[in-house]
Amino acid sequence: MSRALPEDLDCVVAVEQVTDYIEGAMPLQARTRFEQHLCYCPACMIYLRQIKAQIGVSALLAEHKPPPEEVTRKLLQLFRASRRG
Amino acid sequence: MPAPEREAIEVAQDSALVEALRAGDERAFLDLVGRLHGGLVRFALGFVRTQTAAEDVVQDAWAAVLQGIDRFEGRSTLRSWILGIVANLARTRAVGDRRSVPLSALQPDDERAVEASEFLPDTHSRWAGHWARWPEPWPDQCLLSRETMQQVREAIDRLPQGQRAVIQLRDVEGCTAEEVCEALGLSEVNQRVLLHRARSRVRKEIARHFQGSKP
Amino acid sequence: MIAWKFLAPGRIAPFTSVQWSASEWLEAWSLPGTGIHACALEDLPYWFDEELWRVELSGSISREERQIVAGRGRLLARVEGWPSAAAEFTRACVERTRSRAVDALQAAGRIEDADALREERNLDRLQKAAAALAEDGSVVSGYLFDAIRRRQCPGLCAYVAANAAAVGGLRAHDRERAAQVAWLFDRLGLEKA
Repeated sequence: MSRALPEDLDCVVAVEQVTDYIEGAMPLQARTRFEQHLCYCPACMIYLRQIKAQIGVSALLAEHKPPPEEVTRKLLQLFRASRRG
Repeated sequence: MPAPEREAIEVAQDSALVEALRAGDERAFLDLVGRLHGGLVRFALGFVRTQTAAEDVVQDAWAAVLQGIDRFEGRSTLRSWILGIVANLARTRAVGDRRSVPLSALQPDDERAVEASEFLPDTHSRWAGHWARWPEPWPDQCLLSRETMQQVREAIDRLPQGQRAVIQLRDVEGCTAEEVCEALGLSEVNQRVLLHRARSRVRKEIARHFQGSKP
Repeated sequence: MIAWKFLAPGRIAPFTSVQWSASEWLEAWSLPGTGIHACALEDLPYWFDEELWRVELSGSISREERQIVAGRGRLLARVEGWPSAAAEFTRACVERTRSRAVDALQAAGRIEDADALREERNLDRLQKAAAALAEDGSVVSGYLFDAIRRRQCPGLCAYVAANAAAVGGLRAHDRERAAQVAWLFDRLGLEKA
């Protein structure tokens, strides 16, 4: 047997719960078991941190470029036309 | 701030914006376009094949937004409504362009976050189901490099359509789960499954990238 | 009520990343999640982190699986002996696991192996010997190998020791966890409130 107690998570299971955990979509008992797993499993803690770091990097990819001038001009025309009549 | 509170604030700000748009406030419109346009094009690129097609789709979407703004009910955020319009137009356009469904889109129902080979097998006497080797922590400075960001960008763009749409909106654009469900017509659970799979695939690519660049 | 809480360096809650004030009450409603989480004495080995604090809890208090959930809490005092005692703690886990490995080998009639394991003073050689015995089918020796290998990590080492004990059944497991708690209680001077 690889678990001290049957309710202990395996890492295979824990990694599938990471998204639910970050989303806050787990009931208390499941969340507690997940957190306890992290307390004795540095590997899964590293995995969770990787996912969080990845989310952080993803946010930096957001496109903040304003549209090119011709596009803005066209859209403004559209806007004016839609508000007329 | 928790997502429901953020969303409540955004919905409140939206109603002022919607009023302004209905009243013909050009400044308000240009502000909105400036804020959203780039992200909408990027989002559309997950459905259509070319940059031009994506820009066309978003152009058409703005036209539809302006046509529909008087009827917008504000049940969800303005952004999610606009994203929904883009998604619908993009999907229609993609079918029209006969964009072939990549093999990666045909996923098994039990896609795993991490390959089974990363864990010890059931035959291990002590640690069946545990990591065979601890994953390597990713150093911050490598994560924030232009190269890594490019890898993440490409990994997201290589995802199957449904996964790409969700992770693009959630993790890149910062939409709430509710907005994404609204925009893409997904249940909360479905949205989370897609997000989970998308993040797992992207993580795999980043890990491979860091692994490959080790001396 | 008085309880205990492990925090990351700088009084940071390990899972919410919220920083606890040095003395002010923290309210559950101001946090994401379900409430203030803390440990009873018997929960300690499940929640290791860098800093150990004595805390006071009030408001609605419930006993959940291996933790206490409360409506509000505040830090009272840092337990000075932690984490400096971590190495000794894991060493004690290793030694108890060694005893279990020795007993298991004796029970299996492997008297020479048992004696060798019991007599080995050098930790590196002990680790190697345990590994060899694990290859040779002794599961508890395998846990001894793991415990030595992971002695930098109190949470993991304690878990390994608990697993090693569990080979002998649930009661043995519980005794090991109780031994871990007793060690912390004695060594860190955690008076019962």
